[in-house]
Amino acid sequence: MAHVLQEPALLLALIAAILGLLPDWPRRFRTGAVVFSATLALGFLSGRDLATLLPIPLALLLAATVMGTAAALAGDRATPAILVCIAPLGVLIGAASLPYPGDPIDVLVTTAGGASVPLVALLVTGGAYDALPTRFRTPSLALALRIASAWLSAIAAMLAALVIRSGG
Amino acid sequence: MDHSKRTKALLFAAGTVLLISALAAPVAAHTGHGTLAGGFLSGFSHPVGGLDHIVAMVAVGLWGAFLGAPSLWLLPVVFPLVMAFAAVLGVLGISVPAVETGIALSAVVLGLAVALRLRPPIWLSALLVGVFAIFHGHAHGAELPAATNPAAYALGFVIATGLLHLAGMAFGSLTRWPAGVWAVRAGGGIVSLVGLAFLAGAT
Repeated sequence: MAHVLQEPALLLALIAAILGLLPDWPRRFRTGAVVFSATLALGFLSGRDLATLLPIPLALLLAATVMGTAAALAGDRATPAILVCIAPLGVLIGAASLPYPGDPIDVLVTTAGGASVPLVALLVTGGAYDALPTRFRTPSLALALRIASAWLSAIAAMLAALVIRSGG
Repeated sequence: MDHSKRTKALLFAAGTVLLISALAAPVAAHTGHGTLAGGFLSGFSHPVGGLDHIVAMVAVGLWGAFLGAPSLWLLPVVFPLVMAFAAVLGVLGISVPAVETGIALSAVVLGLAVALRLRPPIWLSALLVGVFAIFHGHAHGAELPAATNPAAYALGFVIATGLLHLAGMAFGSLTRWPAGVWAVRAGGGIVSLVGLAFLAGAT
């Protein structure tokens, strides 16, 4: 379960997904959570094949960069575009959370843990945002979400460059 | 949130940033001036360790606040995005000419924009800020591979840059009062003068 917190690429991708879904509340979040869950499951199912096709950590960082940029520029608008960005993030987070092959029980438990962390993080953040009193949902909060998305995108882009530089 | 509460929040943010800046140990901010310990604190210290970086970052926030929405959010969003692109160039070893001159020039131009209350079209202000972000980003990115913990370093310098923007936005919020307009314009003038001093040193 701690895997998400130990892998910067995975953590950035997860935060990018969450930041991208909070604006245009609650319409975008409801649809986005469904898309994210479905694509996360797809990532778990296709993760082994996907890992042979592309470097997952780099793809995660690039997807987080795209998502962060889109969320920063879109704000409350362009929800369909954000939902398009969330799909590859879900697949890649799922693929990156797959445990190594081993004892079936261990794999099952680890897979359950890996799958639950992104979903729980998404739901807890959504719940916290929903519980936020209306007076706190100000233009300043929307501004903060956009700026945080831009920051996240910047960090992900630089880490992607480092991965490319190291040949990974 | 009404104006007074928002102003208080912004001023609190500015005070926090200034306090953090005051507590930061002096560092040689640019490539070739010393070793890099790596990690979050090194990344955080990089933008706040060089006066030319500081004034330019603050000027971005100041100008955004002066121009109002949508520039208020557009400029602090465009800057880190373009800065990251330029940092990628720095990480990959692709050179950008006259980085130090560009950084100093950014302070001069952005400071003048605030001092003279320039209100260009949104696309032009975003373009201007984006062009200057290239120089700042490249300076940061060139040092990133040397950091012992590049992820923490990147996190530190992006957050420090953003906080400096917020400090500028907080100071810029004074423009809602007539005396505040003059204070902000004077701030822009000071930024411009600091930039000129660095420009004289860089050329």
